[in-house]
Amino acid sequence: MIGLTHYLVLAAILFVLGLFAVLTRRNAVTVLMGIELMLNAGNLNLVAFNHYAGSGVDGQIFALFVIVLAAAEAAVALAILLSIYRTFKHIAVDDIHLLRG
Amino acid sequence: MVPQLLFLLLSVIALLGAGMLLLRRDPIDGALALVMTMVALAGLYLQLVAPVIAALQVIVYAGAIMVLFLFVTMFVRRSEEHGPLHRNRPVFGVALLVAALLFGLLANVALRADLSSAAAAGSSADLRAIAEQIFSADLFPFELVSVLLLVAMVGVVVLARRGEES
Repeated sequence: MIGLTHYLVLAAILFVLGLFAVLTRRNAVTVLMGIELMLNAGNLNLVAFNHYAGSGVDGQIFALFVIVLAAAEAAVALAILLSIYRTFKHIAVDDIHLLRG
Repeated sequence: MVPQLLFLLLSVIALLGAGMLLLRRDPIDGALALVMTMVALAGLYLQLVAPVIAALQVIVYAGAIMVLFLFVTMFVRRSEEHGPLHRNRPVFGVALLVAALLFGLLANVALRADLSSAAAAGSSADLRAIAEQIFSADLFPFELVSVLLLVAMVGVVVLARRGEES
Protein backbone atom coordinates (compact mmCIF):
# COMPACT_ATOMS: atom_id res chain seq x y z
CA MET A 1 0.00 0.00 0.00
CA ILE A 2 1.43 3.32 -1.06
CA GLY A 3 1.01 5.83 1.73
CA LEU A 4 1.82 9.44 2.41
CA THR A 5 5.22 8.43 3.77
CA HIS A 6 6.35 7.06 0.41
CA TYR A 7 5.57 10.34 -1.29
CA LEU A 8 7.27 12.33 1.45
CA VAL A 9 10.46 10.27 1.20
CA LEU A 10 10.49 10.52 -2.59
CA ALA A 11 10.03 14.29 -2.34
CA ALA A 12 12.83 14.49 0.23
CA ILE A 13 15.21 12.64 -2.10
CA LEU A 14 14.29 14.88 -5.03
CA PHE A 15 14.71 18.00 -2.89
CA VAL A 16 18.13 16.92 -1.68
CA LEU A 17 19.28 16.09 -5.22
CA GLY A 18 18.17 19.55 -6.32
CA LEU A 19 19.97 21.14 -3.38
CA PHE A 20 23.10 19.22 -4.30
CA ALA A 21 22.92 20.49 -7.87
CA VAL A 22 22.49 24.06 -6.60
CA LEU A 23 25.46 23.83 -4.25
CA THR A 24 27.96 22.02 -6.44
CA ARG A 25 27.42 22.73 -10.12
CA ARG A 26 29.41 25.44 -11.84
CA ASN A 27 27.06 26.16 -14.71
CA ALA A 28 24.47 28.74 -13.64
CA VAL A 29 21.76 27.23 -15.84
CA THR A 30 22.18 23.90 -14.09
CA VAL A 31 21.99 25.66 -10.73
CA LEU A 32 18.64 27.13 -11.76
CA MET A 33 17.45 23.70 -12.86
CA GLY A 34 18.35 22.44 -9.39
CA ILE A 35 16.10 25.14 -7.94
CA GLU A 36 13.29 24.00 -10.22
CA LEU A 37 13.80 20.45 -8.98
CA MET A 38 13.52 21.64 -5.37
CA LEU A 39 10.30 23.50 -6.16
CA ASN A 40 8.93 20.34 -7.76
CA ALA A 41 9.74 18.31 -4.68
CA GLY A 42 7.83 20.84 -2.59
CA ASN A 43 4.91 20.62 -4.97
CA LEU A 44 4.83 16.85 -4.68
CA ASN A 45 4.60 17.26 -0.91
CA LEU A 46 1.73 19.73 -1.21
CA VAL A 47 -0.29 17.53 -3.56
CA ALA A 48 0.39 14.40 -1.52
CA PHE A 49 -0.71 16.08 1.71
CA ASN A 50 -3.79 17.42 -0.08
CA HIS A 51 -4.71 13.94 -1.27
CA TYR A 52 -4.24 12.24 2.08
CA ALA A 53 -5.88 15.01 4.08
CA GLY A 54 -9.29 13.85 2.94
CA SER A 55 -11.25 16.81 1.65
CA GLY A 56 -10.55 20.24 0.24
CA VAL A 57 -8.28 21.49 -2.50
CA ASP A 58 -6.02 23.83 -0.52
CA GLY A 59 -2.88 21.83 -1.25
CA GLN A 60 -3.56 21.77 -4.96
CA ILE A 61 -4.14 25.52 -5.01
CA PHE A 62 -0.84 26.02 -3.20
CA ALA A 63 0.83 23.82 -5.81
CA LEU A 64 -0.75 25.89 -8.54
CA PHE A 65 0.62 29.10 -7.07
CA VAL A 66 4.05 27.51 -6.73
CA ILE A 67 4.01 26.59 -10.43
CA VAL A 68 3.16 30.19 -11.36
CA LEU A 69 5.87 31.59 -9.08
CA ALA A 70 8.39 29.12 -10.51
CA ALA A 71 7.58 30.33 -14.00
CA ALA A 72 8.10 33.97 -13.00
CA GLU A 73 11.30 33.10 -11.14
CA ALA A 74 12.72 31.14 -14.06
CA ALA A 75 11.96 33.92 -16.53
CA VAL A 76 13.61 36.63 -14.42
CA ALA A 77 16.59 34.48 -13.49
CA LEU A 78 17.24 33.48 -17.09
CA ALA A 79 17.05 37.11 -18.20
CA ILE A 80 19.64 37.97 -15.54
CA LEU A 81 21.77 35.09 -16.81
CA LEU A 82 21.65 36.47 -20.35
CA SER A 83 22.69 39.84 -18.98
CA ILE A 84 25.59 38.23 -17.09
CA TYR A 85 26.60 36.34 -20.21
CA ARG A 86 26.79 39.58 -22.18
CA THR A 87 29.11 41.07 -19.58
CA PHE A 88 31.37 38.11 -18.74
CA LYS A 89 31.02 35.88 -21.83
CA HIS A 90 30.51 32.91 -19.52
CA ILE A 91 28.11 31.79 -16.79
CA ALA A 92 30.34 29.82 -14.40
CA VAL A 93 29.11 30.79 -10.94
CA ASP A 94 32.60 30.50 -9.43
CA ASP A 95 33.99 33.27 -11.58
CA ILE A 96 31.19 35.79 -11.26
CA HIS A 97 32.29 37.86 -8.29
CA LEU A 98 32.51 41.39 -9.59
CA LEU A 99 30.37 42.76 -6.76
CA ARG A 100 32.79 41.27 -4.24
CA GLY A 101 35.50 43.57 -5.55
CA MET B 1 -0.79 -4.17 -7.01
CA VAL B 2 -0.93 -1.92 -10.04
CA PRO B 3 -0.76 1.36 -8.09
CA GLN B 4 2.33 0.17 -6.24
CA LEU B 5 4.07 -0.78 -9.48
CA LEU B 6 3.10 2.53 -11.06
CA PHE B 7 4.39 4.46 -8.06
CA LEU B 8 7.65 2.53 -8.15
CA LEU B 9 8.10 3.02 -11.89
CA LEU B 10 7.29 6.73 -11.80
CA SER B 11 9.53 7.42 -8.81
CA VAL B 12 12.42 5.54 -10.42
CA ILE B 13 11.98 7.62 -13.59
CA ALA B 14 11.82 10.83 -11.55
CA LEU B 15 14.94 9.93 -9.58
CA LEU B 16 16.78 8.90 -12.75
CA GLY B 17 16.04 12.29 -14.27
CA ALA B 18 17.23 14.09 -11.15
CA GLY B 19 20.38 11.98 -11.05
CA MET B 20 21.14 12.70 -14.68
CA LEU B 21 20.75 16.42 -13.99
CA LEU B 22 23.49 16.03 -11.40
CA LEU B 23 25.85 13.89 -13.44
CA ARG B 24 25.64 14.99 -17.06
CA ARG B 25 27.99 17.71 -18.18
CA ASP B 26 25.92 19.22 -20.96
CA PRO B 27 23.13 21.41 -19.53
CA ILE B 28 20.95 20.40 -22.49
CA ASP B 29 21.14 16.80 -21.29
CA GLY B 30 20.27 18.09 -17.84
CA ALA B 31 17.25 19.99 -19.15
CA LEU B 32 15.96 16.94 -21.02
CA ALA B 33 16.48 14.79 -17.92
CA LEU B 34 14.54 17.36 -15.91
CA VAL B 35 11.69 17.15 -18.43
CA MET B 36 11.67 13.41 -17.76
CA THR B 37 11.41 14.07 -14.03
CA MET B 38 8.58 16.58 -14.52
CA VAL B 39 6.55 14.16 -16.65
CA ALA B 40 7.04 11.38 -14.10
CA LEU B 41 5.89 13.77 -11.37
CA ALA B 42 2.81 14.56 -13.47
CA GLY B 43 2.07 10.83 -13.47
CA LEU B 44 2.41 10.81 -9.68
CA TYR B 45 -0.04 13.74 -9.47
CA LEU B 46 -2.50 11.67 -11.48
CA GLN B 47 -2.07 8.88 -8.95
CA LEU B 48 -2.82 11.41 -6.22
CA VAL B 49 -6.09 12.32 -7.99
CA ALA B 50 -4.89 15.78 -8.97
CA PRO B 51 -5.50 15.83 -12.73
CA VAL B 52 -5.49 19.63 -12.92
CA ILE B 53 -2.06 19.92 -11.36
CA ALA B 54 -0.82 17.07 -13.55
CA ALA B 55 -1.96 18.84 -16.70
CA LEU B 56 -0.47 22.15 -15.54
CA GLN B 57 2.76 20.38 -14.67
CA VAL B 58 3.09 19.09 -18.23
CA ILE B 59 1.97 22.31 -19.91
CA VAL B 60 3.73 24.91 -17.77
CA TYR B 61 6.74 23.05 -16.34
CA ALA B 62 7.67 20.44 -18.93
CA GLY B 63 6.45 22.70 -21.72
CA ALA B 64 6.99 26.40 -21.13
CA ILE B 65 9.63 26.59 -18.40
CA MET B 66 11.91 23.89 -19.75
CA VAL B 67 11.72 25.30 -23.29
CA LEU B 68 12.85 28.62 -21.81
CA PHE B 69 15.73 26.81 -20.12
CA LEU B 70 16.73 25.05 -23.35
CA PHE B 71 16.57 28.34 -25.22
CA VAL B 72 18.90 30.13 -22.79
CA THR B 73 21.17 27.07 -22.56
CA MET B 74 21.68 27.12 -26.30
CA PHE B 75 22.41 30.85 -26.12
CA VAL B 76 25.20 30.50 -23.56
CA ARG B 77 26.42 27.06 -24.56
CA ARG B 78 29.89 28.02 -25.73
CA SER B 79 31.13 28.68 -22.20
CA GLU B 80 30.48 25.17 -20.92
CA GLU B 81 32.93 23.32 -23.13
CA HIS B 82 35.98 23.77 -20.92
CA GLY B 83 36.65 24.09 -17.23
CA PRO B 84 35.61 21.78 -14.39
CA LEU B 85 32.10 20.44 -14.07
CA HIS B 86 31.77 21.12 -10.37
CA ARG B 87 32.95 23.86 -8.09
CA ASN B 88 36.05 23.35 -5.96
CA ARG B 89 36.41 20.45 -3.55
CA PRO B 90 35.59 22.13 -0.19
CA VAL B 91 32.26 23.27 -1.59
CA PHE B 92 31.60 19.73 -2.75
CA GLY B 93 32.21 18.29 0.70
CA VAL B 94 30.08 20.91 2.43
CA ALA B 95 27.30 20.31 -0.10
CA LEU B 96 27.41 16.58 0.51
CA LEU B 97 27.22 17.16 4.25
CA VAL B 98 24.33 19.64 4.00
CA ALA B 99 22.41 17.41 1.61
CA ALA B 100 22.90 14.32 3.77
CA LEU B 101 21.86 16.16 6.94
CA LEU B 102 18.77 17.63 5.32
CA PHE B 103 17.74 14.29 3.87
CA GLY B 104 18.17 12.63 7.24
CA LEU B 105 16.00 15.30 8.84
CA LEU B 106 13.25 15.11 6.20
CA ALA B 107 13.20 11.32 6.09
CA ASN B 108 13.13 11.20 9.87
CA VAL B 109 10.08 13.45 9.95
CA ALA B 110 8.37 11.52 7.17
CA LEU B 111 8.98 8.12 8.73
CA ARG B 112 8.32 8.93 12.36
CA ALA B 113 5.44 11.37 12.20
CA ASP B 114 2.06 9.97 13.06
CA LEU B 115 0.23 10.06 9.77
CA SER B 116 -2.36 7.45 10.63
CA SER B 117 -5.15 10.01 10.77
CA ALA B 118 -4.34 10.88 7.18
CA ALA B 119 -4.57 7.30 6.03
CA ALA B 120 -8.10 7.60 4.73
CA ALA B 121 -7.48 8.79 1.21
CA GLY B 122 -10.18 9.92 -1.09
CA SER B 123 -10.08 13.61 -1.86
CA SER B 124 -11.37 14.14 -5.33
CA ALA B 125 -10.63 17.54 -6.74
CA ASP B 126 -11.82 18.41 -10.18
CA LEU B 127 -11.33 21.65 -12.03
CA ARG B 128 -14.65 22.99 -10.77
CA ALA B 129 -13.71 22.65 -7.09
CA ILE B 130 -10.34 24.33 -7.67
CA ALA B 131 -11.85 27.12 -9.75
CA GLU B 132 -14.56 27.79 -7.20
CA GLN B 133 -12.04 28.16 -4.41
CA ILE B 134 -9.61 30.29 -6.42
CA PHE B 135 -12.31 32.72 -7.50
CA SER B 136 -13.90 33.04 -4.06
CA ALA B 137 -11.72 32.44 -1.02
CA ASP B 138 -8.35 32.81 -2.74
CA LEU B 139 -9.26 35.65 -5.06
CA PHE B 140 -6.86 38.16 -3.51
CA PRO B 141 -3.69 36.03 -3.83
CA PHE B 142 -4.81 35.10 -7.33
CA GLU B 143 -4.95 38.75 -8.34
CA LEU B 144 -1.63 39.40 -6.62
CA VAL B 145 -0.06 36.63 -8.70
CA SER B 146 -1.30 38.25 -11.89
CA VAL B 147 0.34 41.52 -10.82
CA LEU B 148 3.53 39.58 -10.04
CA LEU B 149 3.51 38.02 -13.50
CA LEU B 150 3.13 41.46 -15.06
CA VAL B 151 6.05 42.81 -13.00
CA ALA B 152 8.17 39.80 -13.95
CA MET B 153 7.34 40.24 -17.62
CA VAL B 154 8.28 43.92 -17.65
CA GLY B 155 11.41 43.15 -15.66
CA VAL B 156 12.50 40.46 -18.07
CA VAL B 157 12.03 42.71 -21.07
CA VAL B 158 14.07 45.47 -19.42
CA LEU B 159 16.83 43.08 -18.33
CA ALA B 160 17.09 41.34 -21.67
CA ARG B 161 17.17 44.55 -23.69
CA ARG B 162 19.62 46.51 -21.57
CA GLY B 163 22.80 45.33 -23.26
CA GLU B 164 21.67 46.11 -26.77
CA GLU B 165 21.88 49.90 -26.64
CA SER B 166 25.46 50.19 -25.57
